[in-house]
Amino acid sequence: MKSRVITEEQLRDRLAEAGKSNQEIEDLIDQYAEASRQEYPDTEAIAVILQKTQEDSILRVRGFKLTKEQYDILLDYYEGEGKVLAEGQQVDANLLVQRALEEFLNLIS
Amino acid sequence: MANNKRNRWAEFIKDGGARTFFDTYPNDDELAEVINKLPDSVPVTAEQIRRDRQRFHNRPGRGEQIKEEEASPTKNVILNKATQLEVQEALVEILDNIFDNFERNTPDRLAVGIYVYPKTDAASGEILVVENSGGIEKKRIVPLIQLGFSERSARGIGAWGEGFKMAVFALGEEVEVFSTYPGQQPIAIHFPRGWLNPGHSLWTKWKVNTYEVGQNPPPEGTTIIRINHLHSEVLESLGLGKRQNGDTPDIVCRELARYFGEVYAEKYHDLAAEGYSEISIKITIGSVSEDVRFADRVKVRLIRNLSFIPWLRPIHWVAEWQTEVEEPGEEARFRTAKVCVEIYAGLAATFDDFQTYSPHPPGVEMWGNGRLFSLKGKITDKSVGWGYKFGGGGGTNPTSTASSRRLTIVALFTADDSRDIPWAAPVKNDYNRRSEFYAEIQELCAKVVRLYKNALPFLESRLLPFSHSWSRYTNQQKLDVLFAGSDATAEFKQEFATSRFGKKLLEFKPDFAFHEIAGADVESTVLRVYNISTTTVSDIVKAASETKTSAEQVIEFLEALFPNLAKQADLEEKFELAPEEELEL
Repeated sequence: MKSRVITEEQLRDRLAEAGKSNQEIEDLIDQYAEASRQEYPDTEAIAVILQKTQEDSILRVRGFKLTKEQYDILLDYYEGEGKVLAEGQQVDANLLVQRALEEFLNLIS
Repeated sequence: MANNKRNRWAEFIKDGGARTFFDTYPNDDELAEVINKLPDSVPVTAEQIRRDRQRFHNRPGRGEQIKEEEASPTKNVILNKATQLEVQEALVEILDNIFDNFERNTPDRLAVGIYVYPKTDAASGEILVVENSGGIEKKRIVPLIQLGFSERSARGIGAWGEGFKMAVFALGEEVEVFSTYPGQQPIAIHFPRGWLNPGHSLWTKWKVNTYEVGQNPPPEGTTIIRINHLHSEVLESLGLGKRQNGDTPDIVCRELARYFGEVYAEKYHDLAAEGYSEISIKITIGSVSEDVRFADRVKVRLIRNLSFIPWLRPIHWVAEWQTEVEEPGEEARFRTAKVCVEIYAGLAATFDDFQTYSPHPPGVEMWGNGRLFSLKGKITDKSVGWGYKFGGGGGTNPTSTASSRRLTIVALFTADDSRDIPWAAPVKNDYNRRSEFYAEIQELCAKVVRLYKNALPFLESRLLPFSHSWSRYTNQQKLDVLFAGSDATAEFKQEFATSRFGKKLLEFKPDFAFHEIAGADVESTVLRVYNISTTTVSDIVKAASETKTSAEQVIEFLEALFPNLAKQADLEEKFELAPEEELEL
């Protein structure tokens, strides 16, 4: 469905009716205009996404997707076995012994 | 019972008797009736008579010999090259000369007819090229005949030189050229059969005869090139061979028309811009014909194909080089070689829509003076900057592989002297890696590759909203693209489509402006050109890929990719606009 277009003038009227001061109205419209000109991606948001997805990827162990809770159990398990994983360290096949991992997964499934 | 019928008509064509019939019976139906009344004759149709009249009777014929010209000193060169040429490349080479002649003589319009006649009982297969580009002037006859002698014209692409001879002999064994230049006597040139056959007595003869035109001289400004005794592999390629497993003439005809329309696209639009838009090329093979439709300009096609991401938008890079080169043929022994290049480049938005620029294989497409010359395929090696090592900490470019196929680069060269275009010589079907400007071209192309190298793995679904295709998709198609491969349900997609941000994204219209760069010396880091860091580009590409499976994360990524639309949506909420309302400043 096509949107109904509100013009700047209509918006000003509405904001004024809502009791906004002239200055507040100008500020809001400036913000909108500035946002419209923004063509570059939001690098901060991208960084956050990457950080988050990297954390998520830690939870993927050899194709098994673990919850954060399961991952914490895995950490405990390995620490209990005398293998220390640094916080946030990527868990992969080189780090984990395949057999031990399978045993562990059986344990928690 | 034995079949005693004879093809009397073919016999008349062969022994010349048909001429009297043609003269006596100007009406094709009447003549067919007469022939069919002959006892024991294989029937002939009026259509066949009409074609044969056109082919054998109305065409020009040689008259008295005028003089013998000294022809090519090294036939081996022509022979070797001729045997390597594909049929379509040979025809393009002939068309080059026609376009050049047209530009030299500038008649109002240009019509080219290429007629391919199959081999029959009466005659061998032949190609007739009829064109009205202005006729060949007497003084240009020598380059047509001699090897190592080419006439050049400003912004030219060919000029009855070596390429022409190689092209015609790539197609057939005997060549006749009839031409009438305004104000001059019609002329015929004959390269007899065997002239380029090492086993023939004529192989050692260098003379090429020029004649008067004895019958049916071409109209003023018209040239007729007759290539007779077509090689069997040429007939096969044209769908007229004995084997039935090749393409049929209608497919070949269509494919050739498409090919010429592509190869001369820029040339056609350049000429049209100068007021010469009445240019037609028609190909007839046997009884099927096809008119050439010239493709759109490179730029127009690229607009339909590339992704116009604002921070990595396609570029239009213009540079010019010149250098002194030694030229033994020139009086001063040196001349200034000069070439201008316009490079259009960017990331292809899609692989399966608008295949005007097929991404297979990846590489650099090259044009010279309006004519496509990377006919052997796009250039994919180090000569055009793939795998290029920049000095200092400049890094190294990737090599051209399947994963680089999204990068589309088209280089359009122009030069007043066609020798300065970096095309192979004498047949202009490839990039000449011995060009005077080799190093400059390599470096400039390398800079272009560098600009986009970090974005090569960017997801197609994220490039598409910035492309021309986006406006052609339905909302459902757009949603399917955005959430391709994710866990988004139909309900989730619909909900997104009705959200403020979703609506804005579905209606998004990119601008289709190229980023203009002038001069070869510009440093081509993304930071310098687009004011964005390489790391940011890599992060965006990575984040696109990392988020593709989760519908929630897809939206999160899209909001980061289109912060303007996300912020606008936010502010509209703040303004308390109704859901179906949208602000327009």
